[in-house]
Amino acid sequence: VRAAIRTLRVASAPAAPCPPRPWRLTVGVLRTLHTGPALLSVRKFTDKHEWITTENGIGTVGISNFAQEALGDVVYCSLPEIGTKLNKNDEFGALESVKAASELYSPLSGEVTEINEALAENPGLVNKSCYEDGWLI
Amino acid sequence: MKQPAVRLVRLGRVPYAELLALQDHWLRRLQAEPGPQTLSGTEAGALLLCEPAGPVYTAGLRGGLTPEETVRLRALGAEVRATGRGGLATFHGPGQLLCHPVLDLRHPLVCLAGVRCGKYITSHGLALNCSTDLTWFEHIVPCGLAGTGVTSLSKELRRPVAVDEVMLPFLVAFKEIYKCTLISEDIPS
Repeated sequence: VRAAIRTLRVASAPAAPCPPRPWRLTVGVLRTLHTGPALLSVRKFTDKHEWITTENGIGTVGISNFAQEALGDVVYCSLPEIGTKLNKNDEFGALESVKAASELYSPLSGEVTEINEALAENPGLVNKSCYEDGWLI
Repeated sequence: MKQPAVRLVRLGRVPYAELLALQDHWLRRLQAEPGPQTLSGTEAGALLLCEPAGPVYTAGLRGGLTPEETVRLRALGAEVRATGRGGLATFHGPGQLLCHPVLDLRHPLVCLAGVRCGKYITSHGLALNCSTDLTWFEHIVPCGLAGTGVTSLSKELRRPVAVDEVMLPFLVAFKEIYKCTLISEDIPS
């Protein structure tokens, strides 16, 4: 589930303005030129090893490679219901691995709009692809 | 380097709900503390020990007990509870030494893969069958492991082994493995 972010603090403005990207015409396609921080999808990490990326006000949350290695094989993901409103640092779920059940904390305030349904059948995606297919909310 | 101190809290024979309430108290207390690097001599946590006063079946984060099983088990006279620990269904009852370490994993010398962990604090723990009536386990698939038996110290040693007898060797072993000192806290009876 991608969290709709009320306070967009993650994609903070870079120290220097973005240089314009080179563009070229492809057959039948006009490539438009964009600059500015809105396109930056920087991955930020919390001290509890969750990551978040944002795009157009929607944030995606997962756990870091360090966290998935420390957890061991994930066997179950307990995720919130769509529509759940979270404050920053609220517990939003837990991951059960062969070692322990570990709580998950929301990096930002927002509302849950999507959860990764693939994890119900394949919780191991959190280990195999923690930054891509193993996203949580 | 000074060993971290863990508060030893011996509850004696108490209802399971009382153990959970105390565990919750310690969890909140430790989660509120800033961490070992800012305070000297901070306790690394508490070791909660008890013998459950009555029979109770518990399910874990993933579940482990269906509604039908829950009805059936309650009809046997047992409590049935959900918990946030890992693992599936299990049983706790008289004759069992139940140990819940509530530990701050940020303390460098205390390394324990807790059964639940939130904000670096562990909860839930281990249950050691001393003289538990093992027939209670026949009504569930313990930990979801079909075909695996459950045993107790009394069964293995072929003589009655009570929780009281096990307490001291257990604490000695805990201190050795987790390299900590245990400070006793008196619980009013």
